[in-house]
Amino acid sequence: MVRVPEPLTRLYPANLSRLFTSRLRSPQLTSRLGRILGIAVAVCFLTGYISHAIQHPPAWFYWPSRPVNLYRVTQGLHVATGLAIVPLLAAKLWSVYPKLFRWPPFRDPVHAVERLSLFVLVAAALFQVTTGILNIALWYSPMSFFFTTAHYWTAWILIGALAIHIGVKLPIIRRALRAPDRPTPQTTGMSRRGLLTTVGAAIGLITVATIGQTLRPLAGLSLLGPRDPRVGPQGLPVNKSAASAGVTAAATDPGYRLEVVGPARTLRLSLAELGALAQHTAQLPITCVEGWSATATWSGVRIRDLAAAVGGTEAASVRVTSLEQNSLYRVSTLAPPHAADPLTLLALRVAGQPLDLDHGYPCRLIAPNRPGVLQTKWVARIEVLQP
Amino acid sequence: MTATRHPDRQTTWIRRLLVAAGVLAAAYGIIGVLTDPSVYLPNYARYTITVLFGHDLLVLPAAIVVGAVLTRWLPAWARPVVQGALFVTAVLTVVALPLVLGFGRTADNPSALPRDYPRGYAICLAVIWLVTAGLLAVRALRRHRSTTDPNTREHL
Repeated sequence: MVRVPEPLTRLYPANLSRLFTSRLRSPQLTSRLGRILGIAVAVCFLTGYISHAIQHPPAWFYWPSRPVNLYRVTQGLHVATGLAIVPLLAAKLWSVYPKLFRWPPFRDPVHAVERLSLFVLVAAALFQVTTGILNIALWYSPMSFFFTTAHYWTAWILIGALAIHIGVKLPIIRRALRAPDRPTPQTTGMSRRGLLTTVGAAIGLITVATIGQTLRPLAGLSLLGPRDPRVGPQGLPVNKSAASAGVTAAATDPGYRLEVVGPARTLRLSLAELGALAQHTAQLPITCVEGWSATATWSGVRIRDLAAAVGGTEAASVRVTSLEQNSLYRVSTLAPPHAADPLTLLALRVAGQPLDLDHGYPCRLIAPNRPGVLQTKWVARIEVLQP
Repeated sequence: MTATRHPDRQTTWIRRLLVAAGVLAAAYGIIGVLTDPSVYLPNYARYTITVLFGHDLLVLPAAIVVGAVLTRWLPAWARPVVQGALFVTAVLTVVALPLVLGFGRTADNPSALPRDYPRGYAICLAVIWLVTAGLLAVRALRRHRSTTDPNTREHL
């Protein structure tokens, strides 16, 4: 038999995991990182689910119209926590990396199933973090699937695989977290505390560099914010322009009429007629699912006044349809709490000027505590749906 | 060891519940991925396999090797600080890269990705490495003091 020279025998499967020499890896370190990571994943799952449920409400779901900034907080938290997961996940996976090369790969069928579930867990975690980052950077081409639904279903896979993982490892986690805090052996590398501090510093830097997309006072400091709440037409960012929505001609047509349909009558109102109705002003944020948000002063006609004019009551829902033809978000339905809220406007003006075409000229929906994709722009039709 | 061999009944039930709930949630998600036509299963599978193996067999081992090589010739007192700085640099790059490349920009919407991201990334890197230089200077100074002043030696 040919003898393999010594350095190469280190690459034998049975010897691979001995290549890793850091004495920093320990169940204590992994459990501590895992505890923080678990909380972060739970926050992301919960806030993400809220955002999903607002857009596709299940029968039991109720979402209020106040506080005005609640969705802004939950969705800002979703994206900020998702970004904070990057250093946590990196350190956590590093801390268990040698186990990937464990030899033999499994002891018995149960162990094999458990290890396979780890592939699902790691794959789902990497999927969620990377697709989230690509989505806020608006870089869709590497994801040749529909981000929204894929991110939603994978969130269930991730939270499920995480629960299985915690269930399997619970005795080890408990023992590790209860163990007295012994100093890591004196090595030439980093200490456990040093590593946790480093992860904390990375989270801090990433947060400061991006959170200004939703916290306006930090906008000047957030050099890597995908949006700047101060930048855009009329000082406000835009997610979809009139050109890309293909509505420029229809929105600027002088023959434009808003159709308001209710149980008592149907109205067809020109822009001048809308402007002659009672005008109200509201300070409301545009809050994007991508985590940015910006407050503006909107003025226009109250949706509930329009609903009442065609015979609608406080208990009605209101369906708003855009001039935009081919969009998933062409139609949005205001649930009764939002439809009846005096802050919910069919806005004609922002910051005292007529709406920019990219902000939804001739008129757009703006309601408190709602995702931006549901704040329909270039409104063509308003329908009162009595229960 | 006793905890694994003789788990108390409460722990056993918590573990069973976690695994059962986890299996249900993961199954719900997997069924969703398999049946939702907008997910485009082949593309989804290709992407997932790419990020999983890309991370486990390419990015993470590369990061470990680069970190080991770059800190190999450093004195022991400087190594942890530089290792930390390399870690922060790496994870910041993961977040910043799609913005720096800027493929998400469109001509008709200048408010999307409005900043100069290469500049922002460079400033972040400068901050990381300036802080690192500061920490190294403090460590070097302390070391110098402790070797010259016998009164402070016992504190270190």
